[in-house]
Amino acid sequence: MVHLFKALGQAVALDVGSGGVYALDDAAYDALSYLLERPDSPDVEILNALAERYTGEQAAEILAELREMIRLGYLFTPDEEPEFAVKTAGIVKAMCIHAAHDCNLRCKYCFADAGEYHSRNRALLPPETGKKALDWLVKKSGSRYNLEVDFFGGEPMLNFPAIREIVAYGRELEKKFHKRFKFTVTTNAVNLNDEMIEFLNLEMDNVVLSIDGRPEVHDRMRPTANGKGSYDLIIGRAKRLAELRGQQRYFIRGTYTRYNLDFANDVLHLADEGFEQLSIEPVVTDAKHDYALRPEDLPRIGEEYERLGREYIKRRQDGRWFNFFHFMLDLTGGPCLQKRLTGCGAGNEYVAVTPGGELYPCHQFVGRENMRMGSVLDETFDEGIQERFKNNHVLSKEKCRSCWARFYCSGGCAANAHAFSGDIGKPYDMECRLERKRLECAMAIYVLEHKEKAISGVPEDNLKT
Amino acid sequence: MKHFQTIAQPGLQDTMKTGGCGECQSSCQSACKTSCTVANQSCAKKEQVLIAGRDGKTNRIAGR
Repeated sequence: MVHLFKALGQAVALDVGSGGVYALDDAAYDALSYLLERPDSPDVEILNALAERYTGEQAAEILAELREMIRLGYLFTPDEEPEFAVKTAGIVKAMCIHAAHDCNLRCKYCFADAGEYHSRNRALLPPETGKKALDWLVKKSGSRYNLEVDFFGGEPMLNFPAIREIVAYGRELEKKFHKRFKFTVTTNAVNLNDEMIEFLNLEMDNVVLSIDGRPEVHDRMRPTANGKGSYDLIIGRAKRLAELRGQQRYFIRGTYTRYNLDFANDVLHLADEGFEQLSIEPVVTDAKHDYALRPEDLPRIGEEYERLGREYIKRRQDGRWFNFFHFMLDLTGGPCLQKRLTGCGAGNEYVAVTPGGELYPCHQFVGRENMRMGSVLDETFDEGIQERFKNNHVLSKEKCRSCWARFYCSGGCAANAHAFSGDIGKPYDMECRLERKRLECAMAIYVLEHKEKAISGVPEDNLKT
Repeated sequence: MKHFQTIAQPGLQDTMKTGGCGECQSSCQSACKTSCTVANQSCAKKEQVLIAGRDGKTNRIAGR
């Protein structure tokens, strides 16, 4: 399968099966476009079509190059499904620890219901439960060295003493079992003080700070418990943390909604505030809400990603460098195919633990019926659910078979699929459509930023074959 | 060639043989927590490569 598209004014061809990515000029785009629409066209037909825009000599040259790309296996590689079996069955290596089912904000789009996860029960994770969770993870991780633990909530920093204790315990386990814990935290930054910032910058491999962008955008969706805006409370603390981390290993993670379809302005606001690691992502919520994104918004959102992409390239060139999570794409050193097939690993190699020690396939599944996998307290674990999630890889999803993006999104978010269709194997359509647009922009940005260093056509070694 | 430039070499299928060690980061832990994006994760086997970034500005730095 070949996916041909234009984004940010750049024509790009992706050979889906092989991962080959090519920058095309307009002539190559026209030729390949014709061939994709009429796959069995003889050369004479393609030449005739090209003759409408190009001289006979030019048309012949373009077609010769296209045929050579195909002959060398750079385009239209067979869509054979790789022989695939998950190598890591039974191993769990990543965990989301819900340090607090409580929160000091009342964000309107919160899937966690102000931190309570629909349980009507505010709770803080006891340190002993957190330690048992780490013990459980070490046991389930087999020979895996790198283990990931994210402190999540609600607002996890409401339970800072427990986090500190659990991290210290994890460092002991590292020595005892030859493991490496990569701790991370997702926080709204409301109560961060200097002591906490120092601790997080010492111990956390990554810190995710929730800020939506411009003050009015942020305050509208992220009020405090007494209904006031939270932007002024957090912005200084977040800046301090980011600066003290050397602008590395953190993300400002915001959410855009139907209220701010001009979300590029929010990304750029955060960049103007000096943050260099940014991620502003679409809200996922029930369509009944005013702020839910609608299918008819997609063209506008697509244009906004393009606008952001153009400004992104410009700023990265003129000394105002920043990173945008959904434009990050490593086309030459990215993950292996095995990883691309298995995706986020929820329910298989990644689980969430509640303050009560209960296990769920991921943080999004917490509280959902029939999704409780067990408990770290009594060490029960439903391997049937794990098996179900293990087998929910991209090749098993009907909808993904015909999608060019399948090796980039890996079949999407199981929790979103489950929330909208009741089936973890049926990806949520809005998410797919947004993902494809973001990927097109990300690939075009990569092309535009790497074109000068790129190889003209194919490497000479291959041309000799 | 004048009209085609190779930006990324084909070879994804080859990583099926060499990959799958599982030491890399779970994608959901990186930033998103809701939107699955896997292709921007780093391979733990390779040097902690920059991801469309510049020296010293990566979000994935080995070791503490």
